[in-house]
Amino acid sequence: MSDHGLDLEGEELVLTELVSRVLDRGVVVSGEVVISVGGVDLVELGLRLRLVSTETRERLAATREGRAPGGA
Amino acid sequence: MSESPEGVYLFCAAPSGGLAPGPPLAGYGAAPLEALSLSPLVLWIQPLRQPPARTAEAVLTHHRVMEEAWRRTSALAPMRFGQWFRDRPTLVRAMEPRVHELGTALERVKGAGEHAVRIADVKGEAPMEGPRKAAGGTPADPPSEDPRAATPAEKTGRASTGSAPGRAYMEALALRERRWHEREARGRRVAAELSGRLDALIRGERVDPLREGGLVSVAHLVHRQAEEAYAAAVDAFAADRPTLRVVRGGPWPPYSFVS
Repeated sequence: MSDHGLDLEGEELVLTELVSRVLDRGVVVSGEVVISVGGVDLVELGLRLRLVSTETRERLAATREGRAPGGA
Repeated sequence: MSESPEGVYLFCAAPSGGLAPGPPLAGYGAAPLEALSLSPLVLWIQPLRQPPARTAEAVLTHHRVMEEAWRRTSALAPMRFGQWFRDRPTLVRAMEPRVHELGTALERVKGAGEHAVRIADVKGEAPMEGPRKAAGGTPADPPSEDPRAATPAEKTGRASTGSAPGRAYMEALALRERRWHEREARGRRVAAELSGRLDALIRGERVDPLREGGLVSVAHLVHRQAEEAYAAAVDAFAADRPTLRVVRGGPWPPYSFVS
């Protein structure tokens, strides 16, 4: 993943680019594929990734400030 | 959800010849991957009783496997997330007609990785939304991307209060489409300007104008030895265009250039 000093918004954009590739590009072999990723799932996934990103941000901020994640 | 005791998940295809030395490739649950020969290719697979869950973690695991394999082979054809088969014969039957096509794709991406560039306006833009119903159920104009832009009523010289709801709705739709085409054309122009700066550094390109989240998304196929020069060229382009936000990602396995 990108490592050239991006801020959080930039990291989310890069993550969006990456996820779109894993879900929408790459080789699709045949109709035997059981999982199809529809629009709804993408939205759900996007929300999950956003949560992950938020949790990571909080954890990093907590580490910097020397407090427990989620604490005051 | 389907389940098969002999189920198999397909991660990627690579030329026969194996990976560069390193630890075994590990997939879901850190289980080792297996190499299935389909001359002249090798398929990297994992026995899996059922497809992986549709979670962010599963998607990112798929990508991590792909990234590790890509770093250790000359060429890699990454599969899209979710390529699960009920057994190996089914997988082989599905893959055999694709061997030649995949071989060609592997030649195309040999020694190269995919880089992403997302370009947005610094001030940001409103997403391209369709006409919306107002609270009372009356068709409303789509949100303007430009505060100075005329509303449909202004363009036609009529007060919107006097227009039929259906007509106002259709005008809003037409305006939205017109703005989208303008935006799409602008995205393609910016991508072309960037490509012009990259010249011989890129071996392939895919341009996707965006309705939201920026102006345009560009994928570039870049030889691994040109990565530093490529990054410098993109950064120089960004520095020369202060009204644009240019974010780059990668290198990644060449998802956009194998099919």
